[in-house]
Amino acid sequence: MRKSPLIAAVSALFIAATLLLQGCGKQEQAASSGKGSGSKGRMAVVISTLNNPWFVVLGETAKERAEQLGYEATIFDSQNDTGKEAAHFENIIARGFAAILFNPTDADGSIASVKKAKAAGIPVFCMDREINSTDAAIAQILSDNYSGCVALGQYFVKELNKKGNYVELLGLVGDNNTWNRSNGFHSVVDKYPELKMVARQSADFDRSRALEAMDAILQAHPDIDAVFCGNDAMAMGAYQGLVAAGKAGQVKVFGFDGAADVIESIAEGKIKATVMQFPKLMAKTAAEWADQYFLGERSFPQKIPVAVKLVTEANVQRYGHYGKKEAE
Amino acid sequence: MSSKWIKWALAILILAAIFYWFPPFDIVALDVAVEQRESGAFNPEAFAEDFWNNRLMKSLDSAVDAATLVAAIQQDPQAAKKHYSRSMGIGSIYYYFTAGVGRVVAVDAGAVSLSLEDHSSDIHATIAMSDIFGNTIRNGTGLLDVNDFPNSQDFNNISTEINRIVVSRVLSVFREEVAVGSRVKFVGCAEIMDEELDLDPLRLVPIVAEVL
Repeated sequence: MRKSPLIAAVSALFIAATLLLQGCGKQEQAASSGKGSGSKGRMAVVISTLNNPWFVVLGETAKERAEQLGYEATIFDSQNDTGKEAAHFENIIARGFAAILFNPTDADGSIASVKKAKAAGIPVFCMDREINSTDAAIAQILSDNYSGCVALGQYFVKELNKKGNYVELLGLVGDNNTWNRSNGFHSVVDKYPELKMVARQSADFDRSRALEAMDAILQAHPDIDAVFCGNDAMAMGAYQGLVAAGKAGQVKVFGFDGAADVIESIAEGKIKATVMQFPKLMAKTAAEWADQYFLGERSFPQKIPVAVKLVTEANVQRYGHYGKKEAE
Repeated sequence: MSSKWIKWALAILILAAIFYWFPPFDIVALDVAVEQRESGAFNPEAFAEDFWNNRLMKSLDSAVDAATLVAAIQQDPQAAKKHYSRSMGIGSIYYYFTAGVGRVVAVDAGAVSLSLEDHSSDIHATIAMSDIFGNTIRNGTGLLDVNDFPNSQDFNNISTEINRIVVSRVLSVFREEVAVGSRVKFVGCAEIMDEELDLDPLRLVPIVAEVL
């Protein structure tokens, strides 16, 4: 029997949606610790993307700390997609996880998932990224991005001697970290009229997108002096683009995160500065607070800023990958 | 045209209509996205004005005496930190909210250096004179709590507005009047990030800076 085109089209849509949802389930890493019946329960670690080493460190540290505390732990990769993230939450709720250590994809778009978990009695602890709600998560452990970029902006002004053309590469536009970083930076740099932003583009915190963006921007603006990037992955992508264009020594690149490759690049003089966040501290705190929650603690602050540090060639020797050397 | 093609065309039209009325995603230009984010209900300028006039100005008495603070820091920085400082979140950064009177010993474009009254030691405080950046006053007074703000961007924008008030209302007058030898009354906040650099002198962002 032949299907009508209308039925075929609707069926195709249904099949595509089904495949998409199945695909979401496959993003879950086979990372359960398999501690068996001796475990205190299961914690889900939901990470915005594992396509960035910084978030891999965040997720793996949270998982490792949860396991040390006696829980089974599983990492879920949302691939920067709130749809996939929501599917993970449905899956986590259905499978009866005890707590969620959560790195949200979108400050507004992730709220519904957290509220669903709350309604199901599953406490959620946000790590690094914020949701625009103070009554959904138990607590949110967040880097003080704004302050970090105020310090970075002041260093940027000094390095450029208060004048020059620069480019800004933004992260995900739905993420508050993107704007807190950008606003902190501009709260300083915009006071200097001879510093001119000639291009501003989102590269989604992604290295390859930053490389593509940099290639395009350099076509239109070959005479730039600096690039301010909302994270280190984009800083490395931008640097790669500058190398390809033969401008690596002429254009100063600034990042944010404290990623391993950028710390090494600062020491080698390739990147000018970054802002060190402390993903291990945030991840450990989230896991420990979840454990304390199960022990009866309820007096958590809703939002707790974590101080960050400017890293330049002057102090890079004090920092390792994703933190201070002595903390490694 | 065969009926088969008509049916396919109809199916495509129906799908197009579905996507038109129920789009699976929105594409928004970056400048529009920025505008949308900045057009939220929270008004940091109005909030900062209200905070400055109705809360901060009424809380100046809670600032610790600068001579007492400097003496405590000189004696035992950690004890002074424990007794007088405020902090915001996890990390080694902390703040002092302090007030006092001092004699100006130096003036430059960036800062005024003071010798504190009722204190026998050398210079121990400076008052920032250039543009003000960061969260020193917002965090230093202890009057504002990040947990009262669902979106941290709103909380951060308050700092920008407070800093603007400091420059336009406090420093604009102070710059005109201050000179070496002036006797100055001040209230301000200091951010301590690096104890080797930030305690001596104590670098203050002023809330009040008046030549007496």
